Amino acid sequence: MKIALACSHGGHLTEMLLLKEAFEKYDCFFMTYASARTESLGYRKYLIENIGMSPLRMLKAFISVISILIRERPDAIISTGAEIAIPTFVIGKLLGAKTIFIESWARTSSKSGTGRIVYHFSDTFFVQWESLLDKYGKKAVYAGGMI
Amino acid sequence: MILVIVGMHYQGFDRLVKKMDQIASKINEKVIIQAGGSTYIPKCAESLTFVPYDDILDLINEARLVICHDGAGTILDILNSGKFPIIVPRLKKFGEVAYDNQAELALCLENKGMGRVVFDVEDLEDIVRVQVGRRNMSPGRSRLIGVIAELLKSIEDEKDSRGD
Repeated sequence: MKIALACSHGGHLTEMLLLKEAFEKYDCFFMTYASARTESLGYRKYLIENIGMSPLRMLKAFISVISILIRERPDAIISTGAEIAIPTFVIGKLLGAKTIFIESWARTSSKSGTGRIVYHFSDTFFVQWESLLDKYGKKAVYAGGMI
Repeated sequence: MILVIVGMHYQGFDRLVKKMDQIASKINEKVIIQAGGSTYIPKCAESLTFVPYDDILDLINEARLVICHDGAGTILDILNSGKFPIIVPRLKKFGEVAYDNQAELALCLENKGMGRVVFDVEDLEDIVRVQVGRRNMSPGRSRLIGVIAELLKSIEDEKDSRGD
């Protein structure tokens, strides 16, 4: 079984790596932003340009993600955010992958921009604080968090 | 050694860096400031801008006390090293952050007794003089790992039963 791991390169990557016992026994690869930290990331990986708030870079990301996901065809995609989850989940769902989103640990009572959008493209949607459950719809699940 | 972490965020945190540099000039203990995008250059404390991830983890392990901005990644690194962070939330009105989510994470952690939130940097001098160190954490992390692992197993079972 193959799993795509999509996240930005800072705290979101930290959170993803802290969950590695859940996925590392599978064939997995990262989709993340290029940075000194990710250059030396010890997993199979695709490094793309940081999307940030740029619509042009989001468009470029969609194009990169289409080509990566068509080549890899993961069975499941896990993301801890941030905005890289958007193209990954949209394309992933079209290609039949199961999508699992983990809302940021920093979000204890307010939704993230990415979370609001990818909620609609997630098969499973985890929040890391119970206080966030009623902000999202009934799909949101609390099952613990980073700490 | 007191370590100050401003993180990888592009906006600086001069308010915190200046105050900690001032405190460094008054105390005997070594102060190291990872100043990130800040423009103020410390005169008394040792200063770094952006540091490789492994180096930050080493510095956190060495420090007696860690004072940090309210970045989730920074806070996680400190808590997972068994330390008790003093968290100074970035404030939009000072140009330290693009939006105010009202330090929600920092306040939740303080509520659970895992860190301390300081909004006014003037309060830091007293805090710094008191020995602070904690080693216990209660991860809900292994629970979350377990649930995700079960979910992945069920996806795999479903795939196998489809004969893919």
